[in-house]
Parts: sequence; structure tokens; C-alpha cells
Amino acid sequence: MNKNMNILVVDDFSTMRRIVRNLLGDLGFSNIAEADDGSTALTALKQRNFDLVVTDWNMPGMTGLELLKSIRADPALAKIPVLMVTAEAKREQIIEAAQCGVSGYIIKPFTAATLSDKLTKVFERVEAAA
Amino acid sequence: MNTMPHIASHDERAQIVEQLTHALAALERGDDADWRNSVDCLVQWRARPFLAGLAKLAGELERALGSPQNSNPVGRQSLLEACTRLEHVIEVTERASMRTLDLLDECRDLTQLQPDTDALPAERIGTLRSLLSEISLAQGYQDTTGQIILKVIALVRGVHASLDGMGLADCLDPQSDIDRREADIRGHGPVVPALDHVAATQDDANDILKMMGL
Repeated sequence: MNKNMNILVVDDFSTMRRIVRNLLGDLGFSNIAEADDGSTALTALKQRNFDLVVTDWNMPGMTGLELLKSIRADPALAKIPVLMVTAEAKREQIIEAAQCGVSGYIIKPFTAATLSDKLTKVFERVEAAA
Repeated sequence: MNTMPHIASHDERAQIVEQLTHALAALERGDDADWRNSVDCLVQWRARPFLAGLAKLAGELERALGSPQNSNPVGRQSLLEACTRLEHVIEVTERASMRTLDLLDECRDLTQLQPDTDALPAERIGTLRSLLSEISLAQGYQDTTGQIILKVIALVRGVHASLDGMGLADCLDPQSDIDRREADIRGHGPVVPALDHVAATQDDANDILKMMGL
């Protein structure tokens, strides 16, 4: 895993964005940008290259699921791994996220170990597919 | 609406008969505008009980929710007040969380060992203790926000009781299939035990994704 990768953290609560940023920092990642909903995230994704998106689901405006669908629908963005970190915990929603192409799904509250484990698995798959 | 309006008097009956006769005559001579106008008058007469009931309901709703002139603490102003109080809870919670995270960052910096030592200086340990105490104090926001939330619960329960008294509370509860589907897309929010579905665990999420080849 390239620790210099550009990561976009998307959540409407600034506290959660900071917590995720801190955890990623502990894992050695320092190039972190933030967005407070799906729309601002999509704008950011179209303006510069990102190697990973970590997004919440339940946000005002464009939700995380809608952001995921938009990413997968755009040929320029489609291959970016998307890790969903969310309190949404219905089986049907997890299945829907998977069907929409989510790369990993973390249910809040979560641990640093879970985040680390999911990141490793996501990028193992990316490298295997390359 | 199946209630027919009561024909109050002989004069009113005569007026209705005249209106019906006029409508029929207009229809027979092909005068669409006049026929339509006559039928509209009859429809308005027909709708009187419904409109009267609606006006009565509007009045009761006004009393239940409270007008700005009312001193009734449970009412329309209460719902606006509830929203404002909850927005304040969000602000207080965010400030407290950020404060806690700032203090944790300071603790983290203090625990960085110098290259030539494997023990923290004594004064740093003292500073760490102080910071940990401040972190503990920062959790006091839960007392403030808890009190505000209890007040909001009282406000909302009061409005619900007023609506229940009018027989309207049950209309507010059922969630349609469209609402449920919309919530599945937008998100349901964190699960509250005894209210919401049983939440999937991280292991469940892992299994589902694995089953789908992810």
C-alpha cells in the first residue's frame, strides 16, 4: 500500500472526519482531503486524483450510496476504491452497497484495527486486479 | 364524504330546485357555460358540511399546536423550539468532541519519547494527568445535552398528546412502502434498540461482502 496515496474522507460530521483522519494518520497516511457531503466530494474527485474514498452513507444532499453510484458511473472515476464507514446496518443496505460496487463496508462504531484490516484487503484486491 | 347537507328550510329547498331546473335547461339548450356554473353552485352547496368540518378541524389544530398569541406551552412554537434546542445539542456535542480530540493530540505529543531515553520526564507525567482530567471534564457536555434532549422529548410528547386528543396521532405513525424505500436509499441512521431492526454486525457485513465475491 502506498502511504502517499491521496485519500478523500466524506462525512457530514466534522468530528467523524477528524477521527478518520487521525486513524489514517496513525496508519501512516497523511495526504487526506475532506468533504462534507456527496456533492462536494464528487466535485473534489473531478478536480484532482484520489486513490481512495472513505465515505459515510447518511448525509444531507447527496448520500454516500449516491456518491458511490456516481463514482462507478463515471469512467474517469470508476476504478477508485470506495470504503463505506457508516451507521447503516441493515442487511439489505449492505447488499445494495455491494451491488453498487462498494470496496469495503465498515459499521460504526468501529475500531482502528477494523479500519486497518479493511484498507489492507481493499488494496490487496486492487493490486491483484492490476 | 357521504354526508348530505341538511336542507334547512322550505326556501332553501326551493332554491335548490330552481338551481337544478336552471342547470337542466342550460344543458338542454347546449349552454355549457351556464350549465357548468349552475352545477358549481350545487357542488358548493353539497360541500358545505365538508368545508365546515375542515374549518372546525383547523380551529382544533390551531388550539392543539398553539398560536403565537397563546400561552399554551405545548404547540407550534414548541416544535420550532424543539428543533432549535436539538441544533444546539449538535453544536455543543461537536465542540466537546473537538475539545477532547485536541486534548488527546496534546497527550499524544507529550508521550513522544526523546531518542536518548526510554522514560517520560516527571513533569510530563504531571501534565498528562492534568490533560486526562480535562478530557474527563470535557465529557460533562453529556449532562447539558441530556437535559436539553429531555426537554425536547417533553415538548414532542406534549404535541403528540394534543394531536392524540384530536384523534390524529395515529395518522402520523404509519410508514408507507415508499417512505421505507426512500429511507433505505437515504439512510435510516444509527440503530436504536427496541425501536429499530436488529443491526447487522461487522462480521455480518464481512460475510455478506465475501458471499458476493468482494
